[in-house]
Amino acid sequence: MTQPTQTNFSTQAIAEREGRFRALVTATSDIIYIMSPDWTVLQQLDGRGFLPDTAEPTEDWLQKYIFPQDQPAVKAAIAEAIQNKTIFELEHRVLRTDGSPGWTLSRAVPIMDEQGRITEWFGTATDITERRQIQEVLLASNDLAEQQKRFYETITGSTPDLIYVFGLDYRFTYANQALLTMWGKTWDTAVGKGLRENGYEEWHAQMHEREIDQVRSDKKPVRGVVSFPHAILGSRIYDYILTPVFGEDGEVTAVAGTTRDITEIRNAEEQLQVLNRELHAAQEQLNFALNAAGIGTWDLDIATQKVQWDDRCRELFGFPPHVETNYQNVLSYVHKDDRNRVDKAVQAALIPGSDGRYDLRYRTVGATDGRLRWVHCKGRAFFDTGGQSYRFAGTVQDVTDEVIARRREQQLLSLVRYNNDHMSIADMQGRMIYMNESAKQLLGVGPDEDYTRFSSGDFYDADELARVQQHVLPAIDPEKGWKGINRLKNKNTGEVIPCEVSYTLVTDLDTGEVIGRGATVRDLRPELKARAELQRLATMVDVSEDFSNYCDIEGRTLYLNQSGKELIGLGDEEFKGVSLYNYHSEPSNRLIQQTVIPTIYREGRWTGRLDLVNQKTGEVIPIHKQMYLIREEITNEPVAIAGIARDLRPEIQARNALNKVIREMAFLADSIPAVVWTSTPGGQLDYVNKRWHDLHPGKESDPLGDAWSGNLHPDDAERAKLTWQKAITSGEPYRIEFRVREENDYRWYLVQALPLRDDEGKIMKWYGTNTDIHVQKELQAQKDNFLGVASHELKTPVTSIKAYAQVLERVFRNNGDEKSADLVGKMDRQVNRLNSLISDLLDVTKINSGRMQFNESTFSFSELVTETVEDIQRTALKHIIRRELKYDGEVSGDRDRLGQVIINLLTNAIKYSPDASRIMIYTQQENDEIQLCVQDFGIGISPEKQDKVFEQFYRVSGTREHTFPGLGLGLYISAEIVRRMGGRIWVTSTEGKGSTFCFSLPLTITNR
Amino acid sequence: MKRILLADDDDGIIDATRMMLELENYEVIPTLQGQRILELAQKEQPDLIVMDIWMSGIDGRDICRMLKNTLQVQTIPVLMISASRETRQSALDAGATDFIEKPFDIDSLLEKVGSLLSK
Repeated sequence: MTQPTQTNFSTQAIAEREGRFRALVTATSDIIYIMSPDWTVLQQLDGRGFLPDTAEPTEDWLQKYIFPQDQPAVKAAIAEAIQNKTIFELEHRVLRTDGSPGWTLSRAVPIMDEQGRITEWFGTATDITERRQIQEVLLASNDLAEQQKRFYETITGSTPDLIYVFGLDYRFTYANQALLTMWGKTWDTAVGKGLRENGYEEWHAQMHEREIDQVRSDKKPVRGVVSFPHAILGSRIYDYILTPVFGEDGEVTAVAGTTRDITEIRNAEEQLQVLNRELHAAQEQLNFALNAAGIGTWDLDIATQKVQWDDRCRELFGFPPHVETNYQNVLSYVHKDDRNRVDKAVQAALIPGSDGRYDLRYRTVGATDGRLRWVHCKGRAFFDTGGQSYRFAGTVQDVTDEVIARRREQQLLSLVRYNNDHMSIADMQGRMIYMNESAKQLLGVGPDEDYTRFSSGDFYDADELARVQQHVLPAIDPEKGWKGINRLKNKNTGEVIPCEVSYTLVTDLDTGEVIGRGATVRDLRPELKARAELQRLATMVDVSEDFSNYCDIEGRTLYLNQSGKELIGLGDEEFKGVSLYNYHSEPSNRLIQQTVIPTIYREGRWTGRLDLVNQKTGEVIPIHKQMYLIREEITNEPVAIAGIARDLRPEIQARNALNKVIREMAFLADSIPAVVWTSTPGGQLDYVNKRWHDLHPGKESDPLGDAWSGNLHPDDAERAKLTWQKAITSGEPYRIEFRVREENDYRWYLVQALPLRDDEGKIMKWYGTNTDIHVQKELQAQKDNFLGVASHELKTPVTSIKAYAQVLERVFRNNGDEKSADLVGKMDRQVNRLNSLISDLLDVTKINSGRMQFNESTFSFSELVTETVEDIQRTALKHIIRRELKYDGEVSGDRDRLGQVIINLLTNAIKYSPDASRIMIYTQQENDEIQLCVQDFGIGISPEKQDKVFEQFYRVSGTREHTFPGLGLGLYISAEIVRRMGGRIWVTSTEGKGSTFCFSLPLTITNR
Repeated sequence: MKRILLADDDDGIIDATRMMLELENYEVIPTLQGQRILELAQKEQPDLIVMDIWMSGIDGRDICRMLKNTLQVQTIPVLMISASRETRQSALDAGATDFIEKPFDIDSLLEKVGSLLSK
């Protein structure tokens, strides 16, 4: 046997399954149907006589077989089953073969392929027409009230009804599941059996058998109550109805029954009866109360939109009695501004699922009287079991007076609430009932804090609280209240606040009983502060050294401070009422009348000079006075004249003293032989002493402002202006020598000036002197000239001596007299030293007189250094000069002078390192500079002397200074030469180790 | 024998310098009067003129310019002597062939003179 393929296997399985279905269909009595996957086509129907059979696919099966009113329910259940791929199950009506409606319980199962797709529906339908009919009969047999009650109870009750049918032979032909459960039996063991077989006691069975007979004969239902045990719940009370089931011939064919467990209901009913009685009484009371309270009732039938009104209601809306009204009609009597609001609230109450409540205040306009009324309308919507509202009823009350009263109250309350005065109400025990916003703020109660939690104790210190309770509160007069100062306390900050408190007692209007006390509180702090300020001000005025007075508008003195009294010479009481014209001088009185009074009327104030007359001594006292017109605050009427004055005597005395000092100073300045001048911080001359004018009689040489530079020698003017400008900008002392024209000649002056500064260091003035140095200058020039001539004249014999010596040396050498030749050679070297000293003097003279000349050229720096070193090396017997020349470019400047500097540095190095054998010279370029350094390994220079070596006539001294002769001019000359060429010169040295002298020249000089 | 016109207003210098030059067998025509240089130069036609830059009443540079502007003598080299090296450039500018500073070494002088005469 070969293994079947998967497909073959499936096909075979389906065929087997189908076979089983067929067998099932044949065995059952139910209707069988097969539906297409979407239920559009009925594939097959086996009606079993109940429905017409069909083997042909039918598309209009719904119209054909399903009772029209149930079609929507069937469709919905199908859609749900398809959607969920679940069993379709529904009790519905069908159109039977004979065209009459019948009930079926229809169930269909989806048949699905391996992919889970529905291939068809396989369904069965059970005929339940009979069962439904019984139920309908049962229902029909009850009266309407009972049916409603049962219906309600079925929904709410926990126990389902027992439903059963007896044959006329007292056997059960039907028992529902609830009954089977109660018996503890199954259908098969119970149906077809009699009462006793199903567990009924003899008396019970006989009772029902009698009743069945009675129903059969009377053709009327029988009702009863019986108590018997339940299989699970124990002893229960049951209510039952037995109803005849009629055959077609009108005879009773069976007796159907329903039984209900009414154990709870009975209990409830007993209670309900009590409640009903109470309710009835309450209803009566309510109606009475409604009438008394002016409350009307209304009832809207949703279906008809008719509104039932009681008379009170009509009155409130101003409707005439007995006229029928509907909802729209009612709405038209609502104030137009409220209409929309009312309609919205009503519609909201009627929405299914809402709580149905309606509570609104609105205005109505009377239909007949046109009166505006405020009504408070409350109501409730009632919903049927389908959730639809069918009734809407409620009450209405005229609240016009209440609304007006409340509004008034609200207005008053907001007046109080936002009043700037602090207001509160407390009960007699001190518990807070009300506090307005100001009070809360004053006492530290938060805006949202519940102030009723507080009492007086929270707002007073213990001592003050005791005082208030013992002395203040009992003193509140029922009519006049109490007013006084209490020291309240801010709850938060603890600050004690002095307050003026006004208490009034609040009494019950009807009984006159005191129910609380109201307090209005005024914070006294600003007032106390203002009073303190005023006090201080008054004290200040009283004790002020300035004279203050206050007169009425006629000029009668009302107030005079202490200074004023002393100044005028009037006693404490003497000044009162005295006219101000009495204590001013005659000219001042005229001024007051003609100028001061009109001015203060016009402009409010006047300031100027007046004279007082002291009433005791008669002294006239000059004062600087300010006068003010005081006007009445509200009417603006002039009411008084106030004045403040300063005694000018100390000022005048001081000014006189100052003038005296100034005169003395001017005299002093004028008597000095030098020219003395002062200048503003900006450099403008503002004073020059008499000496200047003596020297420059003409007005045209006035030096004030910046005219001074016009008197200068043309060669000096520009330099002088620049230097002066530099001094006033930097604040550094000004020092310069220049020539000033005097008559037709120029004279040399040394001009010096220093700035005078204030406490903050700001320049207030420059003080300068011009000292005549013309004679000194001339002497200097003569000295320079003399030195120049002398040096030059000295050189002539030196030249001759040197020449003779050299000739002589040669002659000796030619004659073989070496000893004499050496001697003359020594003489020649001394001549060289003499010459070098003369040259230095000559150079210094030139430097001092500004006549040193430079011959500019551009040349190789290394060549100059090499040449110079070789020259020196020739005469230096002990030292080796090592060169390290890193800069190999050109330099611009005076070649000879630069050579002179290098010679000076090298000869110094040799001179001050007698024990060394080595000198270093090196050059290099450093940024924009060319540097040359000469290093020796000699005695060195101490740090404090290093700066001084470049000064004129300075000589390095040491333990062996006597061994270093010279005038001390070489480095001075070298430094001057380097400076003149735009360079720098410096030394680094360690005592005992040696010195390095360097100079630099700007590289840019080559580009000039 | 080369002939040198030597001019200086100091007879000590004339005397000593003349000795130096005669050590080298030059023929020296000395003068103390700067004003006579042009005349002597024209008359004697020396091979070299050695003169001081500052002589009483006259500036050697002016004489040098005159020499250089005078046809018969303008080719004669001039060695200018000065106590101030600062005048070196102005002397050369005035037409001097070389310059030597007072006081001078005999070696330097003879080197310069020899050099000027060999040209």
